[in-house]
Order: sequence, then C-alpha cells, then structure tokens
Amino acid sequence: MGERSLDLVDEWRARWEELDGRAHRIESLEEAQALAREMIGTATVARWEDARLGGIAQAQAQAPEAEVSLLVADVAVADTGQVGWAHGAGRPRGAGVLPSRQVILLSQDAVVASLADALARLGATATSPPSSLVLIAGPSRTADIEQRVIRGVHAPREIDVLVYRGTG
Amino acid sequence: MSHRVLHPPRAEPAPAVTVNLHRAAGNWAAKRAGAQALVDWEEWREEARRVRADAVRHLPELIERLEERVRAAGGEVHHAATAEEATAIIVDLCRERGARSVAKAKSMTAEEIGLNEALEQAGVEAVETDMGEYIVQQLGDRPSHILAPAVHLSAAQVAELFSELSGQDFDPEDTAALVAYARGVLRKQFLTADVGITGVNIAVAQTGSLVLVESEGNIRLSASLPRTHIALMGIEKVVRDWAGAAHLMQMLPLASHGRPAAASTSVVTGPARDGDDGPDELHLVLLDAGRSAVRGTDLEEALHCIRCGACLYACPVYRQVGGHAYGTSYSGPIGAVLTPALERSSPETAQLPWMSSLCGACTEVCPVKIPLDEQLVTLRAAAQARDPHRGEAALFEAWARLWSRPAGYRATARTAGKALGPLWRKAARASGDGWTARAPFPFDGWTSTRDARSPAGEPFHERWRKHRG
Repeated sequence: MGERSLDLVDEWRARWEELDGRAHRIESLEEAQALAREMIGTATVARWEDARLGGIAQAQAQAPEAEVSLLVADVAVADTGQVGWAHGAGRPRGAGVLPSRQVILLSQDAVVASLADALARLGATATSPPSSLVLIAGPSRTADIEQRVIRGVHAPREIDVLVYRGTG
Repeated sequence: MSHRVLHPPRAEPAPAVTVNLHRAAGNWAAKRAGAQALVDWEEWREEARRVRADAVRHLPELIERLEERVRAAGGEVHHAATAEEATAIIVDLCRERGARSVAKAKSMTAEEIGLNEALEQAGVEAVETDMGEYIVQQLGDRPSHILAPAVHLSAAQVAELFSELSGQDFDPEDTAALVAYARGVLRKQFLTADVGITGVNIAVAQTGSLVLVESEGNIRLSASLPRTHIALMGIEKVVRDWAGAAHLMQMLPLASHGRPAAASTSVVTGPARDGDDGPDELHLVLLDAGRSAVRGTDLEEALHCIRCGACLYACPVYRQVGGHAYGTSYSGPIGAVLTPALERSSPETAQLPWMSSLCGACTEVCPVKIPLDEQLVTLRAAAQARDPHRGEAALFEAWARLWSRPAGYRATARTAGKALGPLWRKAARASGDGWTARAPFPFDGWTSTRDARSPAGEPFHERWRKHRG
C-alpha cells in the first residue's frame, strides 16, 4: 500500500494510531516492562504465560473479571496497522479479549510489511495452522446507533502497544 | 418534507431511516475515498475479481478441499442443500448438546435461512450479540443493512427500548451509556452460552481456515468462549489459497468502512487443540440453497459478492427507502440480484430488479466488479418473458402515443388536474402537506406501498405559458 518508507515500525505506527490505537517506542524490553508496570499500576490483570510478562502485574485476576489484558503480540503489519497473535497453550483467548484495557508488548523485529507476510509468520499458511489467530486494528468499535462511533464494545476499548528494540 | 415511503406516522419528523441512511452513506463515501487512495484501487478490484471468479468457477473442487482440511484439523462438516436442511442441522447440533443458550454473532446467511426463528421454535434461546442486531432482535424487528442492521432506528428508539428492558432511564444523547448497557447484558451471554454461532467471511481451502471479520469483538467471543462453535457459510465464500484470502481480507474493510483493516479479524482452523482454551468442537455448515444452480448462468458473478455493503450505500434507491422495503434478507442492488437469482421462480422476488434506477453506481463501487446493473436488466428481461403483463404493456404503449403529441399531453394533464385533482387534494388535505397516503380509486394500488403528491390544479405548461405572457 503506497510508498514504502525505510522504517516499517513508523509505518505501522501511523496506521495503528489512525485506527485509534496507542503506540510507544521503547529502547529495550526492560524499559517496556517498566512502562507496562507503570501503566497498569494496581489494576487487576489477566495475562499470558510468558517470561517477558513476568513481574509486571501487581494483581492478577481471571479474564472475565480482570481490568487489563496483558500479552505479547507475534506480529504487526505496516500496510494495514494490524497487530496479531496466535492463541495456544499459556496464551488463552479470553485473556486477550475480555478486559476493557489492553497492554501489548511487541518486538520491533515482529513488524512486517504486508498482511501476507504476517499470515505466514503466524503460521496460517503452514500445513497445520494454529487453531486460533487474531489480527486487531485498534480498539473494538460500533457505529450501530445513529452512526456515532463508540470505542470498546465487546473487546478492549483502550489498547497500548509497547514496541521494544530487539527480539527478546 | 417529501420522499416518504411506507406510510410513516403523519405527525413524526423525517423517519430515522432516511436521515440515518443519508448520513451513513455520506460517512461511507468520504472514508472510502480516503482509503482507496492508499492502494491502486482499480488494480486491486481486478485482483479481487480474479480471486472470486477462480473460487466460483472451481467451487466443487475447492469445497471438497476445504472439507478435507477442516476435518483434518478436527472440525466437522455438514452439507445443507436447502435453508430448511441448514436450520435442522444447527437445531439438532444444539439439541444434542442440551444447549439452552446460544451466543449468535451477526450473519446474513443465518438471516437468509431464518435461523433465529428455527432456534426459538426448538426452545433454544439465541441472543444476537452484535450491537445493531441485538437492538433489532429485542425490538422484534429485522436488520436493514448487511453491516449496519439498526441503521433505520434513531437513538431515541434505542434509549426507549433499553429503558424498557432495564427499568433504568437512558438519555438518547449518551450513546456510550447505551453501548455500555448492551455490553453488560451480552457479556453474561458470552460467558454462559453453550454454543456460539457465527457466519464466515472467507473460507480458505488451502488450510481449512475460516476468516471472521468484524468491528465489535462479538464474533471473536462467540467463536472463543462457548464449548461448541457452529460456523455457517454459503458455499461460495470459499477461496483457493491464502494469497487470495489475504487480498480479500484487505479489500473487504476498504470497501465497507474505508479502513485498511477491520478492528478484529479471527482465523479459526478446527477446534481448540494444543492447550488452546477455545471450543472443544467446530462444526462447519455449508449451505447451497440455490447457489450451485446459479453457477454457469449469466448471473454467476453475483456469487462473487463478499457482502461489503458498498452497493447499498451507493444506491440512490436504497438510501431513500432502506433495507426493509425490499422485504428480503439481502437488500440493495446485490439483494435485488441475488435474491431472485437464488430463488429463480419465486413470484415474491420477481419485482426486486425494478427497485433500481439502473444508474450503475452499484457496479462502479463493487470491489469485486459484479456487473450489477447489467444483471438487473437481465433479470427484468427474464421476469418480463415469464410474465409479460400484456394489459399493462398495452396501457403504457397507449399512454406513450398520447403523450408524444403536445395536444394529447395538454388535454390529459388538464383533465387530471381538473377532474381528479379535487378528489385527490381532499385526501391530501387530511395530511396537511400535499402528500396523500391513499389515492382515490383506481390509483389506490399505487399508494398501497408509498405516498403520492396530488396532481397540480393548474398544469405546469399552462403556468409556464402565462408566466412567459
């Protein structure tokens, strides 16, 4: 889509922000974790089992009750502004969709140019793809009542993506 | 005020349907123009057309492949030749699982087969979880747009409904509070439903994957939380491979919302496995219901439709009358083609191709280049051949002969105004705005589904002559 700039992260970010998502570029995983900790504070968190998410949340809760969803995305798409991940063991679907706020860690190396690249990276094109993949583009939204756009219907209303340098 | 249809209540201001539709269509047109600048739109349309044409041309082989891959991933596949078979399969699946409650995500295909009614009759509570569909269902109404089911309703109507349902007071201006209320009610539904039912936007034969596209997140929840996921799709929704699917996954949100991506896209391949917390069972119901019979006919391209809703907003007739006026599940230009195409001989749908000015706006916006205007003409010709309406044709011919001569035109226009006018104006006076909901006999057939202006007391050409002196 359009002219290709040198920095895929910047391209992805511009689209993501047009879609009402929030993004933060951070120098390292440690700093991203610190920022996530600060953003979440004492709010209750439903999170995935992932070493990168350890020590961030002060209070955990089951997904239906949690205030914040915390996870690590597998991919982001410069062309479309999407952020994607695969569900699976230790990566429950409910934790990624039920809370109204969402904090997502994303390695800048996970940003790819096209949706086709992203689908390949998520394993969609493999012989046996994961049972469930999701690609989001900003908060969930509805315009069903007189075309007034309301963010946050059934899925998260506010989403912060913390893009950190390195593959970690 | 003018251009009313379907007998709106006299004292009401402009009905929400026209106001909302014009606003919605305006928003859509503005966003669409911006989004299409992101890509080489004409090239993208051609590629999308190619992907869909390939799918429909090779449908039997691709459906076979899809079925094989879905089974390989642990899903079950059911074939339904008719709408009745499809509802029976789904009702049985719910019954066998002792399901009392179903979370249903918006699906036009479910609407097409009358799934809600069938489930209700079977004693299964199916709650619509899309915001617009939820409103429409609670009102006992029907959706009026493929993507915006409640576009015909005003916020005041929604606030009144929610106040009634909850016993709280809702302010129509506080849209966020209305949405929050429905979110709360539906959240319980997601967490307790035994079965989730969704449609399918794209099925990828290559891997047996189902792509579900949405804005609200209700489809994702319906496909994730209940123990059983039933996905219903028309067989034509299949595509060969991921290259084609990826293209359509971008084309769909560009065409429908003018955005490069939908807020949420789920890709489901079989039921949960390898420690995933999703459904234990996935059932894919493949609906034919007339689709195979359209292949190889001059309407085959109607099967290329990806249900983006663009032709509805682009259509001047749809914008004016709204989806309900069509009286069918699929409305707008694609509905006027698809419905009679799927039910070739139905007299109820034979009129649909006339709900168009043949301006061609639908064809221009279609992201998969369906020649909708040509198909409307084809269907008109076919309907005419089946039922030539000889009396009507003779009447119109006589009228045409009369009005081709100035003298004939003047004489009849004057007669209409003088002889018919007083009677007609009497009917119109009751409404106070020059419109009448019931014209005098023999013109009352015309006003059975629309309002009409009374003829002018003095015809225009006479006034014109006086004006020029």
